[in-house]
Amino acid sequence: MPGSVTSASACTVNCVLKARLKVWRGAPGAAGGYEHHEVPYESGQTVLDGLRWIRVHRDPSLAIRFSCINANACKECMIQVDGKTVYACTTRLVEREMTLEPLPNKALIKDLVTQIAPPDER
Amino acid sequence: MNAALAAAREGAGCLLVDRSLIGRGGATVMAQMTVAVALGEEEPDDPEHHLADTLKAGRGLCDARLSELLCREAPQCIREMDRWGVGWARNNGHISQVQAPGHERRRCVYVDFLNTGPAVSKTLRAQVQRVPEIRRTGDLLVTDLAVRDGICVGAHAVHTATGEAVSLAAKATIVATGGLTRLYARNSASINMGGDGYALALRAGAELIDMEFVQFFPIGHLAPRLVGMDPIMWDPFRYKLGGRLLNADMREFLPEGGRYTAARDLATAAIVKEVAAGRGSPHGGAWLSFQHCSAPELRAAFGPVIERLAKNGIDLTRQPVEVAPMAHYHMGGVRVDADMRTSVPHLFAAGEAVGGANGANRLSGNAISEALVFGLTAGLRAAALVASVPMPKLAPAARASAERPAMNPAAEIVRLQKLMNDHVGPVRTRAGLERALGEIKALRALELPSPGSGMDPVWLDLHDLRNMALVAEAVAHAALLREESRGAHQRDDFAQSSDAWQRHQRIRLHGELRVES
Repeated sequence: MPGSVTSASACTVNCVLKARLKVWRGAPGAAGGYEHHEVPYESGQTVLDGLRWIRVHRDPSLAIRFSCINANACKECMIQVDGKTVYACTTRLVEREMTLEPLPNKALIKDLVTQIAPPDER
Repeated sequence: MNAALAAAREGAGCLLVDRSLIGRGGATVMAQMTVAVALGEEEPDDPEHHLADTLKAGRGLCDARLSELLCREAPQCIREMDRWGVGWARNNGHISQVQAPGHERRRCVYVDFLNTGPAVSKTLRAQVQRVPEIRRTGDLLVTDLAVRDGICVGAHAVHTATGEAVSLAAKATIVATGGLTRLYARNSASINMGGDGYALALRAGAELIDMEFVQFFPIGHLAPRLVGMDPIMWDPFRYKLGGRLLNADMREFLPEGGRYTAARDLATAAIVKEVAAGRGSPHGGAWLSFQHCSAPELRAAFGPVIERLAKNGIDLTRQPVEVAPMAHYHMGGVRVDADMRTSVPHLFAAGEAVGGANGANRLSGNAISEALVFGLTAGLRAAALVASVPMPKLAPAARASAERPAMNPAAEIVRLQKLMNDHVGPVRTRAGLERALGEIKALRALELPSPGSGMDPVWLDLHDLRNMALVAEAVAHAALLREESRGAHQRDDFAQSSDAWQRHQRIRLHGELRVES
C-alpha cells in the first residue's frame, strides 16, 4: 500500500519552531478580546497555516476566511498582522509573538472575518 | 458565471449564488496552465481532431455526446472571452497556441505568466457585473436543493455571515460547484471544492456517473513550503526544460532520461510506489531537479517566476524541490444529457460538476473549455425552460432538530482527507477501499444541526464534513466495484484494463448509495 500522507501545507517533518499567535476573537456588538496560542511550524509556513492548525488542534470555532489556501489567487484572507494589512496566506510565521486582528476599516463578521464582498454582492 | 451570462442574454432573470465571494474561489481561478480549443491559429485544426484526442485520452470511457459538445463549442467561447479582453497570449498578432501532452497539434491557449485561471475568472466577474438581470449574492451556502413532486424548485441556503435560513424558489437551477479535490489531503484546489454539488445532486435524487475517476497530478509541489503559487506550477517548466524526477537515492526511477515524457497516471503510480518502498523524499514524494540547467537557461524558461521562487527561498541551481501526486480534477460527476439536464427535471449542471465528458482521464486543457461550454449550454437551456413554466412557491426548510455532535469537525475533515489519500487515492486495493468505506460510513451517520446565530465556523465544518463523507463514499464504493485499472483509477490488485469494464457506473442515493452499471 502507498505510504500514509499528510497535506502539503501541514507541518510534518521538522516542526520544531514555535510561533506565539495573539488572535483577536469577537463578534459584532460584543466586547472582543485576545487569545494566545502557541503554534508549532516548520520554516516557510504561513500565518494561514497557523490559523488552520489552531482550528484543527485547539478550537474549531475560530472564524477565518480563505478559499485558495496558498496560491494567493482568491484574495479572501486579508487580515492585520502586527498592525499591517496583509494576506495571511503569504505572511510567514516567525518565532515571536504575532498579533492577528480583523481589518479595522471593514464591518466585523466574526473573529478575523470582515465584510469584504462588494456591496452589490451581499 | 458563463451559465448566468448565457441565460441573461436570453432574457432570463438570474440569481448567482456562491458560498464565499463570487468568482474568487473554486477551481477556475486556480488554473495556471492552458485551455484546449481547436482555433487553428498556429496550424490547421478542427474540433473533430480535438474530439479524437479527447476520446483517446479518456481511455474508452468518454460520454461522446458531451465530449463532442465540448470540442465543437469551445472555439466560440474562447473567441468570446477574447472579445471580452481576457488577454490570451499572442504571437505575431494571432492567438498563441502550444502543444500540451495528449494533443496532436498546437491547440492550447493561455494567459502569461501562470495567469490563465485568474484572467478567466476576472473577465467573467467583470461581465456578470455589467448585466442587471444577474443578481449576485455571496456568503450564501446552499445546503439542499428543493424538490417537490420529483421536480427541482430551487434551493435552501444559509447566509454564512448571520446563520439566517434563506429559501430560493427557482424555475430552473444550475449546479456549477466544481469538483471534489478537497476530499484529499494533497490537492491543488480551493477549500470549497469539497464535492458540494455532487452531494446536493444525490440528495435531490439525481444520478452521478464515473465517481471513481479522480485525476491526480503527479508532480504537485510538496516542499519546501511554497506560498503565493499554485502547486501545479512545475508542469510548464518541465515542458520547457525536462527536469529530473529522482527518488531518495537521487536516482531517476522512470525511463525519462531527463525529459518530460511519462503520462500522468504512470508518473503518479511510480512516485507512489517509490514512497511505499521507502525511497520517497523526506515529506513523502519525489525530488524534482533542474540542477542540470544553467542559471541563464532557468531565467529564460521561468521568467519572473525565478524571483517568486527566490522569495520562497528556492534556488533551482542549488537544490531540487519535493513533488508528489495531488488530487487535481474530477472526471466523474452529475450525469447529464447534451443539454446539461440532470435526471431531476428542472435541475441542470455545468462545468466540473458534470461527469462523463473526459472519461477515465482528462486531456490537459479541457477543464476551462468545459466550464465555459457547459455553462453556456446550461444557461441557454435553462433560459428556454423558464420561459414556459410558472414560478414555484417554496416553503422555508424545516429547522433541523439534530443535536450538535461532540467532535471537532475541522479535525475530522483532516482525518477524512488523509483516509481518502491513503486508501482511495492514486493507487487502490480492495483491502484499503474496504477499510476506507468502513470509516466513511461511520461519518455518514452525521446529521446536520441548525447553525447558530452569527457566523458559525463549527457548523460550516459539520456541513462540509457531511457532504464530503457522502461524496467520499460514492468515490470509494465505485472504486471498490471497478475491478480493473483504467486511466485515473489504478488498482494494485487488478492491474490491467478489462474490456468487460468498458462501461460507466451510475450512482443514486436511496437511503444508501446504489451503484448500477
